[in-house]
Amino acid sequence: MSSSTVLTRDPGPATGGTPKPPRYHRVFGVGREGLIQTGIFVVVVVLVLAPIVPTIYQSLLTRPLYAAHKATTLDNYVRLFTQHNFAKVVLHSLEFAVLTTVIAVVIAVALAVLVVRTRMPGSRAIGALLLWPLYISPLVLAFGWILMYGPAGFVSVAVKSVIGIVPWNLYTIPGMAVTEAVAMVPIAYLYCSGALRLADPSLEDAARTCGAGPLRILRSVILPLLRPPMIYGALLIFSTSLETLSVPLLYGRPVGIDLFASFIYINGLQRSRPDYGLLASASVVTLAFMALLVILQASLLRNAQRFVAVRGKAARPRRLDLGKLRWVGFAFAWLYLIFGPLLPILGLVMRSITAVFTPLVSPLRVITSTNYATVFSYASFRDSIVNSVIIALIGAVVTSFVAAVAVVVARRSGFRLRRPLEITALSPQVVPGLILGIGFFWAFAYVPGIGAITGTLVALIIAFGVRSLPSAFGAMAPLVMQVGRELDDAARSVGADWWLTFSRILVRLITPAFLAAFVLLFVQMIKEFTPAVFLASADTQVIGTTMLQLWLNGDTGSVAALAIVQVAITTVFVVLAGVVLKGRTDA
Amino acid sequence: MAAATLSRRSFLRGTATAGSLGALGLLAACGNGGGGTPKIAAKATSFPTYYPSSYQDIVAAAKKESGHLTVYSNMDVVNWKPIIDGFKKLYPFVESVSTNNLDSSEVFERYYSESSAHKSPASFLVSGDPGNWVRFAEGGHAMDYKSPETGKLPDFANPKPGLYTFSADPILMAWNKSLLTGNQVPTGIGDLAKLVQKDPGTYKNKITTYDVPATSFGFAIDYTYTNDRPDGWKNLQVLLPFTRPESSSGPMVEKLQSGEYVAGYFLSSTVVLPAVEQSSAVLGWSYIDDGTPMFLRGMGIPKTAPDPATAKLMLDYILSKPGQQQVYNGGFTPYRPDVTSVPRTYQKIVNKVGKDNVLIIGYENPSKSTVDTFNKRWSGYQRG
Repeated sequence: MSSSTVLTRDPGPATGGTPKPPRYHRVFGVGREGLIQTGIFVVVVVLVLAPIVPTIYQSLLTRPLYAAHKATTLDNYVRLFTQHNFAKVVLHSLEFAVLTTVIAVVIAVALAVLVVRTRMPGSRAIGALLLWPLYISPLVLAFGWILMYGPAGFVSVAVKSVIGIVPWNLYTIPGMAVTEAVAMVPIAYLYCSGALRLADPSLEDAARTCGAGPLRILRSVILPLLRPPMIYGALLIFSTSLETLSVPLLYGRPVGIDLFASFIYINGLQRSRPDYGLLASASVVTLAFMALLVILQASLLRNAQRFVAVRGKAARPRRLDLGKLRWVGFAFAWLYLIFGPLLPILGLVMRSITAVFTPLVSPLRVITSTNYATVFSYASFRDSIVNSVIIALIGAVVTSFVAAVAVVVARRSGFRLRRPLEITALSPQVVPGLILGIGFFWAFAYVPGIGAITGTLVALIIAFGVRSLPSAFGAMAPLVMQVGRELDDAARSVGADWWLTFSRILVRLITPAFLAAFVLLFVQMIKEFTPAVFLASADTQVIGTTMLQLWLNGDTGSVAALAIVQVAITTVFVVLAGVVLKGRTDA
Repeated sequence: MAAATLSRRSFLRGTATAGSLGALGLLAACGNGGGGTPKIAAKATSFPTYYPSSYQDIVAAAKKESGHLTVYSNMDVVNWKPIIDGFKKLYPFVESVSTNNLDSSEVFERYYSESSAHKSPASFLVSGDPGNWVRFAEGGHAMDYKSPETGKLPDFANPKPGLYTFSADPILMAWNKSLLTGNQVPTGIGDLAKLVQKDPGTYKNKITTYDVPATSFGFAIDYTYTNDRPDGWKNLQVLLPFTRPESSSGPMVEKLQSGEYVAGYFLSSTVVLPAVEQSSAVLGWSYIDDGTPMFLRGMGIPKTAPDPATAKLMLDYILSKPGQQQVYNGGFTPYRPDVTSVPRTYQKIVNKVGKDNVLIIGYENPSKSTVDTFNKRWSGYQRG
């Protein structure tokens, strides 16, 4: 993309005949530049703080926010650690998050190097299959793992019949971490493979001229180059697994292992007298942990390229030839794919077409279409599918737009608060989905005049949007940073103000990034459900909350059927988007 | 009646019960031959003779309301469908009934937090959480509506002003038929405790029940059981170290079917029985021979209901004879004495297991310290 293509395609005032500086209206002496920049700052700050402030306030109250006669206290925090064993929850959560991160990053780096940088048969197929867990709600992935590797799972039973025992226990922190890691591998893989594709081949050529072999190049050139995406991916995985709900809820509860999210879920929803003070103080402690992470991330990546652009490059790096070793890589990749995501997904497909799915009964004897019939014969289940699609489409467009403006203000303007804006836009990454849902619920209830929004699709779009804002920001920031500043300067020198420069020049250049962010957000939002647990009403259920309810009510076959429907919608969308995006970026 | 108008569960059960609906007074006006729009004029709705003549005023008031009824409940749409279908046939001017499926206590908590800040959209509440119901009724949140059906029902139908019983659902034993046979199958809590002591290997970590400290539903069951049965705690002390508690029936049933659990005690019939229909080859169930708890699911109309008249119609419908029959079709157990045409009713269970072996989980509201002490003891046993 060079400047000339853009400027000839769009001969706006910046290049038109005789340059005539446009005149701009000023409101209260502030140009529209200032209005837009301040506006986006206020919008982002309000949306991000809306759920956090009520949570902090509740954590300091003796009684529920809604009750009369409440006083402020620190007692909730004291009780949290003295009576409720919260220190153990913290330790378990950290152990789980560290293990998940290490397993996921190691697998992802190995796979990224193998797929992107070595000669290996079938690497294209492996690369595509690797991303599958991204499309699936972690709730169903965990359920698929229980079907295969649980104490009575198909694989467990098969292994037991051969060697007499099941050598693993899924319902332990390592078991939980392995499951979560499979869900997280695609994230780290995306970052690492993107960086590998962009890597400068001349560095490797330099190593080669010094006589380095493929393994030496791998160790001394390629892996060091992967440090920034590894750090970024690792922190993202770490914070995501700290707040994950599905795996601890399904695996941990029966054996008494509570993590942050399951602790909050149990204390906030299921008890006869929910202890809101406890719930809020647990949330605040969780938030504090996550905030520490972001500070850590910022300092680790201060000088590195913060975000990795996933784009092609003219000079394509040569693939390394590992010789016979490539078969080891090949075996590793397929073993991971088969036993990590594919078998559990196959289990889900089987569960969706059977009445019971157990090694005790031949699945062929209990094949049924009832599960799909249930999903499609009830209006509210059909509605939840429609709601999810609406939220994902509108939410992804709106959030991508807000993020685009925020990125440009943060990265390409002289706005005084551009750093705080960036930090605020990225901070929802540390707000667990459940807390976001509870916080927005309280915010909608207590800010006068907007109470009616509770339980509507608008409320869900806002909550899901805030939750995905960091992803959208992260997807667009690198491309904006790659566009040379001389284009802005050219426009400014012929009299365009900041907004005109943005809307006439930058917009064109970041459209591919915008579309990529849109696809990413759609995929995220259609499987998202944790904020909706508190926010949704009967008429605004989404696929995820419907699945959770069906699961809790024992209609497990329908959970599987709904999961398959959701994966199908996502796949169709991603394929369509791929076709469209390809057209855009080639143009 | 066409299959499409029935819930999946009642369809599976066959049309026996559905066919009996035609004979009922309340539905007399409803000559729905299947498929087509019900040919009912709302005016023609005739009520049983024991209804006061002023009842038409409530119907008239309901017609002036929004035509939508928002329900907060702890039940799935699958369970609600037969009831709503029956209700809408009777009152076609009610366009929609939205049923929020929440956790038992969330039904109340959501209502409280909404109504403190603005008006809650909920006009009707249904939940299985005795303590919260008592606090709701005694806290003055319930509309003190006297249903004309009260006289036809047992005492526990209307224990407090404004508080009514929706259904009386038995709490069961369940097991995996492929894994437990003959004497291994538990008949009750005491029996299971003996089996576990005799053959720990078969049962260790393979029996399940409700997570009592985490769920109000589970607390109510275990609280009633230990209060009514002197050997209750002794049995729990034996069983709990072998037990993996779950926070809802769904995972219990799924894992019983897969063989991860061999047996479960104190499971909710509303989840077990529909699952048995689907996989009777795998899942076995029975009443509990040393005490079958009966869970009274409560319902009521909040004082702030935006559509109070419509809510009253719904309450009376659920208590009525055809309503209680649809309660059965939704997977619950009706308790109205003159409902006899369905295979499972409160009275039939009492006849079967004996009056002394029915433990009614009443509307009790133990103090917070009682609850905490109870939970502590339970968790202590569970950790062994």
